Amino acid sequence: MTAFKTLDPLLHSELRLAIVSLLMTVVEADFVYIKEQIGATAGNLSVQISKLQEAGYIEMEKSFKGKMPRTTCRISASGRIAFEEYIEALKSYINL
Amino acid sequence: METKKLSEKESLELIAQVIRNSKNNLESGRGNSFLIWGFATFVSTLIVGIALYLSGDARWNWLWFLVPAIGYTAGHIRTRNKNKVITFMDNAVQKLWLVVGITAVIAPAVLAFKHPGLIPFVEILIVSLGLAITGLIIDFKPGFIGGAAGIVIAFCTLFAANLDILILFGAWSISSMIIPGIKLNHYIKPNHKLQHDRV
Repeated sequence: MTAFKTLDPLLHSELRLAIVSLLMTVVEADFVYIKEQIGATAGNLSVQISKLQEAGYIEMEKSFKGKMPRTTCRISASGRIAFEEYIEALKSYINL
Repeated sequence: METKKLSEKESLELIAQVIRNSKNNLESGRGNSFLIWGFATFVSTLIVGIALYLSGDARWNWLWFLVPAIGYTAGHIRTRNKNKVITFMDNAVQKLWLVVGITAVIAPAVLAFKHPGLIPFVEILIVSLGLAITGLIIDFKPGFIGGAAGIVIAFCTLFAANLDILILFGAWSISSMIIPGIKLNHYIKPNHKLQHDRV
């Protein structure tokens, strides 16, 4: 019988998993783009991005483009590892 | 989308869906880069051609630097306030054009002092290689064909003289940049999804 691996609770949430999955496929993305792609509210997205940043899973950079503030996110090395481990853990549940 | 907990199967489906959407995502107006540089080349060719025809003074050839001046300015204005995502494909294309762009500006400036006759050949060849490789990276056949046509035109310039070279430059800007740019904009649907099978 295969032992089930523990699923990272930080990633095992719909919105946070979508954010990390999206950032895994791009070099970097700004806040507005993530919001449009994932379809979350700005407030909720902001809270979840902060949680991922506190965990060291994503890196954030605040800047200005013209007069508009801009927040750019990219996945960190530890975020990438956490995502890969999460996938491995999922496989143990689904018997892939 | 909420912060709800997912079942294992839902998690995998969500990951697959986000990756699939992101993979198929190509910004509308992407062909505008081809169009900006195509029109910059075409307009500069016209200006240089008219100036050379009317005056016969070869120093008007320095006006070729209008191409990067127009291209970089228009490109900067176009991307100034856009929401941005940099995909791995964008990253590869940007780095390719950093190298191509620098080479395409330095090469004619150096050749002007020693072998000015080779400038059209070298310039069209360098940029066409960039266009063909871009077409391959973004999986856009007309982009690759336009670049390949440019490579052929580059060799044709070796056998042409004077104003014929300018006609080749004009033909190159249309076949390698303007037409692929129009086609790329046409094939990217307003919902920002690239139909890979149609491109």
